[in-house]
Amino acid sequence: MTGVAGGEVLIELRGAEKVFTQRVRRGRLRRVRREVRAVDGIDLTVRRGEMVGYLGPNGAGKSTTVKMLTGILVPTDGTVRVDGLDPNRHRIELARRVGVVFGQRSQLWPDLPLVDSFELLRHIYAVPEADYRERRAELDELLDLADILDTPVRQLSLGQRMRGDLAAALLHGPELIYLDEPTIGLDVVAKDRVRRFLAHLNTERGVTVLLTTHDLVDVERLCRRVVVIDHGRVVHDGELAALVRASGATRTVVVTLAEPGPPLEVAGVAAVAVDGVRQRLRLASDGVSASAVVAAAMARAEVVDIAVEEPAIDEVVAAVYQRGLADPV
Amino acid sequence: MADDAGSVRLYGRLVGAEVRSAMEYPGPFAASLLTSFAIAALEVVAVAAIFSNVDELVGWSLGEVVLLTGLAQTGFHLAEVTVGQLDHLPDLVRSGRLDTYLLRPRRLLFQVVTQDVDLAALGKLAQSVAVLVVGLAATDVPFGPRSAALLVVSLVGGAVIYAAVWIATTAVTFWLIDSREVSAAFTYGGRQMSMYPLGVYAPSVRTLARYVVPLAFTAYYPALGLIGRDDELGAPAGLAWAGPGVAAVTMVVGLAIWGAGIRAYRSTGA
Amino acid sequence: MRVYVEVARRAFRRFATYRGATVAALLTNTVFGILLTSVVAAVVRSRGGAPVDGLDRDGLVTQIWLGQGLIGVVNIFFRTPDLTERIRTGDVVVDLYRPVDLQAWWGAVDAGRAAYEVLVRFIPPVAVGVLLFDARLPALVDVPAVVVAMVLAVTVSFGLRFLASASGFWVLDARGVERVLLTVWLFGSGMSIPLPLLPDGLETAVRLLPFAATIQGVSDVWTGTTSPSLPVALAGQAAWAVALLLAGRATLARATRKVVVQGG
Repeated sequence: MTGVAGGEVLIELRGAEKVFTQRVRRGRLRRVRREVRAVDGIDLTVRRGEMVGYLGPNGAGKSTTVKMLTGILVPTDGTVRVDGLDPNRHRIELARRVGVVFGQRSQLWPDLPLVDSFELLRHIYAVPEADYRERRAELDELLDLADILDTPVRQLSLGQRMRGDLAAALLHGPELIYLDEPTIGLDVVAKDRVRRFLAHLNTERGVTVLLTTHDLVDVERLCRRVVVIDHGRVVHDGELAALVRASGATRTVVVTLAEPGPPLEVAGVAAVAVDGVRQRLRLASDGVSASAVVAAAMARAEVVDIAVEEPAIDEVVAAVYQRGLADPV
Repeated sequence: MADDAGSVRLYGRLVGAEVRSAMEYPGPFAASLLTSFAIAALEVVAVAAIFSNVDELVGWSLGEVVLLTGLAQTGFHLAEVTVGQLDHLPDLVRSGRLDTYLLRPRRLLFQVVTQDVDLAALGKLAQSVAVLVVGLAATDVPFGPRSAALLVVSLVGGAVIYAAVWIATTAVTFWLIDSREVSAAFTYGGRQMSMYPLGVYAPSVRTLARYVVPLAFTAYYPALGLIGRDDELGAPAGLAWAGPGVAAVTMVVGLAIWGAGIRAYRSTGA
Repeated sequence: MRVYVEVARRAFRRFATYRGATVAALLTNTVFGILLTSVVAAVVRSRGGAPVDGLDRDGLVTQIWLGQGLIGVVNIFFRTPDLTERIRTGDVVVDLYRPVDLQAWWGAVDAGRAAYEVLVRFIPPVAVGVLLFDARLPALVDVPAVVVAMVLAVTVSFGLRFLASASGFWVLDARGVERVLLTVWLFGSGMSIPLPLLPDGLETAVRLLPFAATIQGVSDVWTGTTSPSLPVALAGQAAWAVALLLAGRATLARATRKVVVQGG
C-alpha cells in the first residue's frame, strides 16, 4: 500500500472556513442574503510522502478545500499553510512546487499537439533543460506517451488526455500534487494505468498526493489514509479499514445452491437476497462469523459454491455520510 | 518572487511562435493584415468626411484633426497589440481557465495578456501609423530631434494611458462578470474622444479628459506640442512632455484596481 | 407557426435576464452619444448654423441618439453568436436534421431578442437624447412609418447576420468575417458618422448598400428626411430584406447539401 506517515508536515489546515454570501432572489425585487458555508471548520494535516484520499458527497467542500490550498480562494477564517507558507500570500512561490490535475478540466492547449503544451509549460515553469529532458523521458515511458505526443489535444481520447494532464502536472517536478477526480470517465484499463502510475509516484518518488475522488476503488487501491468530509467538516480521518469498521457495513456471504429455493433462514444474517440459485446473505454485524453462516447454510440446503464479499465501499462511505456528524471524529 | 524578466522572455517566445506559424501561410496572413489596414482606414474616412461640411472645426483644420486621429489611433493600437487580450477575461472566468492560470507561477495579468497574440492588430497599427504620418506631413511638423522625441514620448505615454484604462476597466469583470461593454466605453470611447480637438466638448467632458481619465494626453496636448500651437483653453505650453508622467500615474492606479479585482475574485470565487 | 412564436417568446425572456450586460451597454451608448453629439454640434457651429442635407443641429443630434438606441435592437455587435458557434462546433448538424426551418427559427429568436431590446436599449438613449440634448421625436403622422422602418431594419440586419454566420459552413474563421462585417457595417449604417454628413458622392454610394437600411433608413423616416420619398425609402429597405433573406435560404440549402453529403 502507499502513504508513508511520519514525514514532516506539508499541508496544514486549522479551523479553515470558507463562507460564501449569495444573493438570492425572493419574489420580484427583493434580494435576500444567504450564507453558504462551503468549508465549515476543517482541521487537516498531511505529512510529506503521504497519499491521502479525500472523499465526500458533491458539495461537501472538497474542491473548495483544494482551491484554498492552491491560493485560488482565500479562507474566510482559520489558517491554511502549505509547507509553512500561506498560499494566499505566496501563490507564485508555491505554484512552482505543486502540481494540480483536474479530472474535468484540462490545462493543456486544445489546438496544439501534446508536446507543444509540454514545451510551453516548461517555459512557464522555467524548468531547466536537463531536468526537463530527464523528466520527459521518464514520464513519456511511464505514461506511454510516445504515440500521442504529436496529436492535437482536442483529438485525444479522455484516457489519453488524462495521461497528458498527469505528465503536464509533473514536468516541473512538484513535491506535492492535488488530483481532482483523475479517473473520472476513464475505462477500466485506463483507470488501472493511472492508478499504477500514481502509486509509483508516491512510493518510488515520494511525491505527496491529495486525491479527491468519487471512485472508491481508487481509494481502495491507493490510499491507506482516507479523509471524509461532509457539509464542510471532516467526519472521518484515518485508515480505510477503520473507516469500514466505523461505518458498520458488513460482509456478505454468497451461496450458490444446486436448485432455486426459498430464502435461507440462518442466525446472524440480517437480510437475504435471492437471485435464482444464488442467495446473498448479509451478515448482521462484525461479530458474526462468516464460516458459521456458511456451515449453517450448508446444513439447510445443497450448496454448490460459496464466496464472501467485503462490504461495497460505496456503502461504507454512504453509511459514514449518513452517520456523519452524529459520530464526529 | 515572480520571475518578471523570465515572463518577458516567455512572451517574446510566444510572439515568435505565433509569427512563425502565421508566416507558414504568408498569403492569408498578408491578406488579413491588409484587410485590417483597410477596415481601420474607414475611421479616417469618417473624420475626413466631417471636413466636407466645414473648413475648420472649432478652429482646427483637416490636417490638424488628421494628426489628432493618427496620434490617438496609434497610441490605442499600440495598447491593443500589447494588452488587447484583456477582452477575453470574461470568457476566462466563465470557462474556469482563470483558475488554471492561478495555479501557475506567473503573474495573472501577464498570463491573461499573453494568452494569445492577435497579429491582425498589427494591420490596424500600421494603418494608424500611416494616418499619423499623413497628419505630420499635412501640418508641416518640422522634421528634427525635438519633434521625434516629442512623438516618441507622446506615443509611449498614450499607449500606456490606454493600456491602463484597459486594465482598470477590464478588472470590473472581477466584480460584475462581464466587463467588455464598460471597457469598450472607456477604451474605444476614449479613442473616439481623442480624435477631435478638446474644444469640441463640453467643459465637464474636458475636465474628465484632463484630470480623471487623462485622455487629453494621448493626442490633444501632443498635437499642440508638435504643431507648435497654443491651447485656446489655456493650458501651459509643453504639457505634452508631461505625458509619460501622467501615464505612469494612470498605470499605477490601473494596476491597483486590477489587484483589488483579483483579491475580490479570490474572496468570492465567482 | 406556433413553434416560432414560442421560440420568440423564449428568446425575449432569456434576454430579459441579461440585465447587467444591458446596463453596461447603455453606458457605452451614452458615452458615444455624448461624444458624437459634441462633434456634430461643433460642425454645425463651425458652419454658422447652416443645416446639412436638410438637417439642422437638432436633426443631426436626433440621428445620433437614434443610432445609439438602434444599435442594440439591430444587433450589429453580434451579441448573440449562438448560430456561429453551433456551426463552428458542428452542433448545427443536429438542427439541420430537425423538421424546423433553420432560418425561420433563428429569425424568431432574433425577433424575440429585438422586441426585448426595443424596450430596454432603444428607449433609454432616445429619451436621453430628447430630454438632455434637444433631439426630436418623430411627427405623429410619421410614427407608423417609423415602426415599419424599424421592423424592416431588424429584418435586414438579421439577413446580414445570418449570411455572416452561414459563412462558417465554408470558412474556418467565421468570427473574422463577422469582425470585418462589423466595421464596414458601422460605417455604412451611419453609426460612425450620420450619412448626411458624408460628401454627396460617397453618401450616394454608401446608401446603395444594405447597411444603410439598418440604421440610417430608420433615422431618415424619423426626422422626415427620406429621399426621394418615404414610400420609395421603405420599399428600398423591404427590397434588401427580401434579397438578403432569399440569399440566406439559398446559402442554407447549399450548406445543408454540403453537410448531408459530407456527413458534417
